[in-house]
Amino acid sequence: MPKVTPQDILADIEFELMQGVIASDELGRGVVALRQYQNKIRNEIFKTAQLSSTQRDILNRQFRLNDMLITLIQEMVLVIQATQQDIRRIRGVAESPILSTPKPCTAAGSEQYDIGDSLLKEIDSAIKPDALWVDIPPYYNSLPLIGWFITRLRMFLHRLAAFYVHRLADKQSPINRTFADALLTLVQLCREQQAQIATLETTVALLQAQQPSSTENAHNAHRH
Amino acid sequence: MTTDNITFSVIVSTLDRANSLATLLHSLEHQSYPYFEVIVVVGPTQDNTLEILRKYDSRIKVVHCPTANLSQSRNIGLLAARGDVVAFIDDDAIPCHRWLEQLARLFQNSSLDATGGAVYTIHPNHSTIQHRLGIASCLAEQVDVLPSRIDSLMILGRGTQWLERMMGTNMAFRREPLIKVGGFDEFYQYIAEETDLVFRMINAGMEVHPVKEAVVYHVPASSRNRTVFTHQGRWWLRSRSRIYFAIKNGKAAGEPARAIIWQSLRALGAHGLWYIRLVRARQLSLSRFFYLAAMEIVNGIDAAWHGLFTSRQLLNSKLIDNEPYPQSIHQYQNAQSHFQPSIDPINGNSSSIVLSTPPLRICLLSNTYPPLQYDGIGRHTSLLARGLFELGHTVHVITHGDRERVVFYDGAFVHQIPYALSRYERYKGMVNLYHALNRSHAIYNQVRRLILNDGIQVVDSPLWLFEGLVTAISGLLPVVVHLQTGLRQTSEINHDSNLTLDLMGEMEKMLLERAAFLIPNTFSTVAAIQKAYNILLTPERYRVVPHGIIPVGDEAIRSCDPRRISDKWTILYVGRLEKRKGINDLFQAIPQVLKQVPQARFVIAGADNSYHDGFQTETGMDYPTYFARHYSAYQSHVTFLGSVSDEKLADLYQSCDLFVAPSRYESFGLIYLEAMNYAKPVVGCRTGGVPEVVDDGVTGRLVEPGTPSALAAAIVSLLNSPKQLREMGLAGRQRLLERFTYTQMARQFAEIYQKVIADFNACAKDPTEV
Repeated sequence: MPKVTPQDILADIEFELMQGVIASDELGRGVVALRQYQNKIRNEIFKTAQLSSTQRDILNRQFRLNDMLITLIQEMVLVIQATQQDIRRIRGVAESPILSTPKPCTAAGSEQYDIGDSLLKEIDSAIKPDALWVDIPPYYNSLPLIGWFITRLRMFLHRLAAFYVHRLADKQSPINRTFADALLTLVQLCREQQAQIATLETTVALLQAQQPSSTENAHNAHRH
Repeated sequence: MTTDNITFSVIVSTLDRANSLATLLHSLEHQSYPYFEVIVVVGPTQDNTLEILRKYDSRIKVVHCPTANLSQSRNIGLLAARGDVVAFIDDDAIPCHRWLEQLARLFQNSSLDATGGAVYTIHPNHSTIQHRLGIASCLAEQVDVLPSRIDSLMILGRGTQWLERMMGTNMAFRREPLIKVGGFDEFYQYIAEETDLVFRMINAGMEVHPVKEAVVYHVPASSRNRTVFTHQGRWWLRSRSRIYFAIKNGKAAGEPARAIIWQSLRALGAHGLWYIRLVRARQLSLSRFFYLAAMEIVNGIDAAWHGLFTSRQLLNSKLIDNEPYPQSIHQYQNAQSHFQPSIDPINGNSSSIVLSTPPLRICLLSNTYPPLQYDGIGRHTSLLARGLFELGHTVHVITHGDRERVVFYDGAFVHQIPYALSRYERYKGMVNLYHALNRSHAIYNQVRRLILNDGIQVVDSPLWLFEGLVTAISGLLPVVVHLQTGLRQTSEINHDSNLTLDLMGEMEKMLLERAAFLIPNTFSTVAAIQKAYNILLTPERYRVVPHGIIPVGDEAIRSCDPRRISDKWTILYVGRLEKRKGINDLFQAIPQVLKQVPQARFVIAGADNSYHDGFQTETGMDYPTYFARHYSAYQSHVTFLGSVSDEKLADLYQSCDLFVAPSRYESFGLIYLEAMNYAKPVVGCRTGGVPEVVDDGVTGRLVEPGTPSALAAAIVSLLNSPKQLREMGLAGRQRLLERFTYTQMARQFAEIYQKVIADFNACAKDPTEV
């Protein structure tokens, strides 16, 4: 466990308090405004328009649907909380002294901060469109009489789910590709910088090697 | 207050529950929102309800309902109401302090037509969340408690139309729309009338939006329809309402006939199966079974007939009092309302003290608390809560529980909350710190809810496990910290040291620094805290308030006869068997005492803690075994009782001649007070806060800690003088009554809270203050 100070804990507590404020206040206010707007419209329509019972029923159902959607948005707070949780984890990792303290460079030679070719290959294979596709596992139900029906029903439902998952995967693939490209660019940049550091370190080492002899020469000259 | 243009009519339907009604009316005096009238609709009562109502004179509108029909009663109340909003609450419930204030804020939204809040059953033996974000279908299926709104979007039963519903004991409607939709359907005598109303309002395009807060605390009371918490009741009224509801609303929602029939049969069938189970368990006689079955069938047919073939004329009740009501509300609260003491919602007791200032609303924190298992802090907090309640204040306690619930226990609303390990992942490796931080955060969240619902003004936290730290850092409310032994002190005494304990000690220090005020139990604690935490406590930051206990009645006192020549002296030790409590010193002193007073007998009560204090590691045995091995000659004179119940402990105190507890450190030492309570002289050590409790030479004897010979000498000298035993015992009892009762303790705490709240409010109002 890396060294933790009371100030770290205090900072974390203040961070958590701040997280709570964002979720409850900002988003909450927006959703309330949306709900108010919908109520206003609803009132106007039901109070002023001459509607048949069928029209009223349809509109009512539509408004209820909207209500449900607003409710859904309200519950997106949960999603935000989950995201906040991720932020906490990332923040925890970033602030971990082990990871955040840069390793000192030594004159003996530069350490290679490389994420490795194998990992790059893994990323490359993971972002292929078919990597997101879902296989449908074979399934058989051995119940007498209704077994075949359950099997078919289950396969049908699997296929239906897979159909939508694959459509989603098609949309997700370009996004992943973009991320991977950005990552590869960063890796390339990192490698270039490391090469530059290595060159600079070599130069420094050469200069340091020359320094004692030049000092000695100056000393001799002073004697004379 | 920004919501003062909305007026409320609080409608209470009541029938033969006079005591519960009196409690409710008393609690309404404390509402933070003053713009409301109270309308009590009295059914065909046979108890002293009217007598109670007469005490309120013109402050309450009393109207009468000729039948025992809840819907009709509510409609009559509605007709008498003059407020913009009508709020319904049952006569066996009490609202939270800011109930109407919250409802008023919601009704600021001009589109909102109806709302309602959560309902908690707070009976000590049956506590639960009774209703929160509940939903119901057009076929009378319902789910009463949901964790979040998103759960209401799922279809959970056969019905296709599901709506959010309120519970009858906590619902509010804008008056005009409610009249417009026809009020409550009076076919429902009991159950489902509120849900039916919500369906009609929604289908008329009105906005109904229940909320999670605006809490009402429910203490279910028996009525004509049921004997509470038993199987006795007119349960056919439930199935009658459900069948009628399913037919009426199922038809309107276009449900197929088979679904409605199925649901109706299910309502009857569920009751039938329940009755059969009761008969098999011999809780229901066969004749009663047939009677119930017949009533179910008759009422089922009646409900089906009315649901299918009758069209009900709604709001057909008439005000039978013919009283010309004014067009505006007559406010319920008067000048004295805010000075009324807090009330016990379970039995209706309240303090007889006349308050000169409004009662405080205090939140105490304690990791453990009765009625669940509790420790020393839980016990102290419980006594403090009881004392504060007796002084007229409202007390909320936040404690740990395996599920969320609220119990009213011995003067306090006890909020048992679990905590999720959802934050501070970074400290997962330091388990104790990780748990303590998450718990402190869960407490902070509960404090926020209590501010919203109950308007708490101050939080009191123990130093131990820094429970109030997150609240103190948030600056929401002033946090007062009462000081006993801190974790860092315990670590030092036990020679424990690791990174987690160090950090937890630092967190305690942070709480000390952030606290609005400190309340140590002795001056010795102040010195010890300053030393342990390397912190300077200036006198204006703290005030010493000693612990207090409940004094027993004089009849429980059995002081020593001064002329007694006893063949058996009983010396009692109470406390955990561990090094800090000086049990080893007592073991060494026992042989010395017995050499001089062979008729002495030692009774040792308390759990063995040899595993945790390292004694087992050192010796390979627990304390009783150790004594048996090393002092076998004296074994017949010593009895180890282990952990004992409170009743047994009281017996032990009562029957002993001398109490001894040679603790090497005690920040206070409640055990000495307990012995003094029974007029017993005590022998202890001159350490920590003990000299502030025991007056050496007057109420007992004190020796230097870790000196068995001096301990033995003190015991022997007292046993040789029965007169001294008696005098010291009585002096101890007198000292307790003068300085160490729980009411004295609570009074001093209340004075501090008052000052802290005033300072906090002054700071909050002063914009120049940070």
